[in-house]
Amino acid sequence: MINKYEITVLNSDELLILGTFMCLEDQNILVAMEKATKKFIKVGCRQGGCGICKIKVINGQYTKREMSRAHISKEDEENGIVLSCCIMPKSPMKIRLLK
Amino acid sequence: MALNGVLRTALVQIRVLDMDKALTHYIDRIGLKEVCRTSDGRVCLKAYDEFDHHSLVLRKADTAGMDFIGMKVLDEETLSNFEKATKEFGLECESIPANSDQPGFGRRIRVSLPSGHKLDLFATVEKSEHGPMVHNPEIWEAEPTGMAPTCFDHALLYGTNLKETTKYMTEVLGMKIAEKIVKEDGDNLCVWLTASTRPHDLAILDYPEPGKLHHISFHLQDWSAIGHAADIMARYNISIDVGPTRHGITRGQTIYFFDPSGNRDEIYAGGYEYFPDHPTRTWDATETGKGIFYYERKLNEAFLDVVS
Repeated sequence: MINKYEITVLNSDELLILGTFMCLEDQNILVAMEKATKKFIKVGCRQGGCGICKIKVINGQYTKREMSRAHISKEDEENGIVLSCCIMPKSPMKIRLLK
Repeated sequence: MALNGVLRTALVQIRVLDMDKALTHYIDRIGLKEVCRTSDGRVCLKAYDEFDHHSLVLRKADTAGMDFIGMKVLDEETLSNFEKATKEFGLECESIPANSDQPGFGRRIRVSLPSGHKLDLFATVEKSEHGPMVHNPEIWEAEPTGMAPTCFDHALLYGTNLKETTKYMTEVLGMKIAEKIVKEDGDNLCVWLTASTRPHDLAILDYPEPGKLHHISFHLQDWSAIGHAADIMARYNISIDVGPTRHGITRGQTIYFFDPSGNRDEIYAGGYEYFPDHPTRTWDATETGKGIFYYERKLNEAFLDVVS
């Protein structure tokens, strides 16, 4: 049984909830958003290379895969600034867009 | 033989985040062949219908993108002449000895383009054991696999100083502008440069950041091969950018898709034949959508934003 979690997307100043969608734990949240026909986050390569889908995790657990250091520094990664195509949820998550 | 100077774009080295995933993508899905591995862990690949040692090199790194692109020139004398002319033009030029970082390759001249890219020029490359047959030749020695690309075709680079880069490519290397998109201020937005009868061997778009890669492109036989490639992309959930569609510019049939590190690949078929007496075809910037994606008649959001 693959778990499914709700992803809540907020705008960049965290004042507005833009919407939610469901994401399987083996699925990255960008592709889950596309499958749900939502358009909160800009879609680029979906492979961790182009950096266009960068977001900030407000809360929630997740696993991640390699992301280009041209876009996500070690410090970013430790602070939850990640590429949404490279993170898979392990709990419900709240994320926000970046300015 | 009338084709001289630059012959074609024949070598590219790109960075990948995960080598195993990259090999599955480029070998099993696209259908390139592994030629060799270097002592520092890079992997050299080629397409079945190429004679030369290799054409694509993958290097494991923590960023995606392109290390350099290479063009083969007619002979060593041409290479020396280009070296001299490049220095006279005022671009930085480095000499890389034979058989150093690229197995099977002779001396290379590395030019620092004003666009921020490294362009290697070379004349001598060992023939691959896995090249096309030359005696009573079959169409191929072993049937092509995956998307069955015949050869590396071209790349689209995004970088700075397009005017100066184009001046170098045309005035020093003798390439022709097959097509261009012109902005309202009269400057070029993008040029399609050819050294051969292909409608492009290299395209370059004017961009605020230097040294970016838009895509590397592999040649497929025809429209039905593009359809088969699309089936492979769907079956293996390969990240597609756009297509199958056609370019207005070059008239080539295409799919843009991404490798597992976010480098954009293209498979490309068709396109007209270019000859050096042909005039440049000019597109107004307002018609860019149709020029790039002929059927959609508009750019997708990723075309101008998503690079590696």
